[in-house]
Amino acid sequence: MAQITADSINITVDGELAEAQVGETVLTVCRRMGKDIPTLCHHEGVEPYAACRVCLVEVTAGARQELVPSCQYPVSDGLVIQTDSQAVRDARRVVLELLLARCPKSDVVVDLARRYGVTETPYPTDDPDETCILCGLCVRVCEDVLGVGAIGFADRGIDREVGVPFDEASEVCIGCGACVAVCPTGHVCSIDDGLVRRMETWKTELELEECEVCGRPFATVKQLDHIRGLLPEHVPLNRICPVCRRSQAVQRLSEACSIVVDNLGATAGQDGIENLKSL
Amino acid sequence: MGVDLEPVGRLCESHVSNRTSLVMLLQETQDKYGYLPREVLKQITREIDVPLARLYGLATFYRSFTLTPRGKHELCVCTGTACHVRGAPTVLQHLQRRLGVSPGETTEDGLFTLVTVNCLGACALGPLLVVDGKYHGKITVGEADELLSSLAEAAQQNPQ
Repeated sequence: MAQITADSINITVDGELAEAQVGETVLTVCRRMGKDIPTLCHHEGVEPYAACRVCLVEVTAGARQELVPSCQYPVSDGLVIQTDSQAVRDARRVVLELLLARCPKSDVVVDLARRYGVTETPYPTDDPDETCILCGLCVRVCEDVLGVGAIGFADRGIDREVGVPFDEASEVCIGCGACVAVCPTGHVCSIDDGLVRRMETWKTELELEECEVCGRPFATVKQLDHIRGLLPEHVPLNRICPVCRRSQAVQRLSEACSIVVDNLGATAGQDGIENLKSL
Repeated sequence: MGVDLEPVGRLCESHVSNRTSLVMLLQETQDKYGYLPREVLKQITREIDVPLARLYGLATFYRSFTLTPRGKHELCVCTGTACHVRGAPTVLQHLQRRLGVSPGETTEDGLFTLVTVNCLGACALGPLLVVDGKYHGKITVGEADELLSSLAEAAQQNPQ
């Protein structure tokens, strides 16, 4: 394989010439160009995983032509990519039929499948209420981003599932809800009930802390302790909810502004102040 | 539960906490305890910086790991294609009937665990029965019976 020395390389996407940087993935470049490539297991915050396979594209490198997951495939000089060829559409349709068979009631899967003309599946459904596509986003965000690792895959093959070890309440889950936020199908869910956050999917309950200003429960005690542990010691952690934090920031900003306006007034005179205020 | 956690520290010491040697650590742990007790897995996560979820994932991914106690003797019937056509199902059915357990289960007296495997790569020896790691090729129902009886007898004469 030829050594690429320059950082910038040229690739072709759907017949269009495009510039890309070494180390970028096909998906990144194609999305920048405005190409419509669906993804389910992809999230910019974590490493590509290529589990859901709906982002398949066709690449031609030399004489070889193959379907690859664009989220994981690195660009190389002279790469020719088809994002919407017949082969790509057919492959995505098969993938969506399989996903539809697994999660027939998931709105996200159903909608995406419909976009590719898939309304029914030839494959059998195990559990009609299943909503997890096993993309592993929750697992990856929990371990790789937060460094908690409260959840993981268990078993394998058709028995593979995502969950807490031994299927019992987690001792390490901090209840931050990152798993809920990244889950593409809404399988992972949590409910805040008074001073308790119930991580329904993980069978774990956590105590919520009230905002020091407005008294609204806003984050779990464990989550705030986790953040405390990540911050340098001299940085104080205000146990304040995002809404109050924002209004405090606005307050500080407007105070700072009025000082600026007053100072300006001394030099620009009354007209200057009126002009500024009318802005 | 009365699981001795003392050896865990020593087991962990010999392994750097990375993904690749975790399987080896679990293998050695299982050799030591006969299975992977929940308390021991939790102790490992305290000893080395690895989430319990990853250990649990590995322990449930590989068939050779078990989270429940095993019997004193392990009877493993190969049910691969070659063994299957050479009569493994008959041997397996017989063992199931005689022991009163399904594959993966342990007899109530804690003496035998019956398991199946999909292929051991010794197809010429089929049907194959592996008793505590010892391979018994071209096994018949009668021979399996004798093996079982001698093991049960030995256990009776020499109870722990």
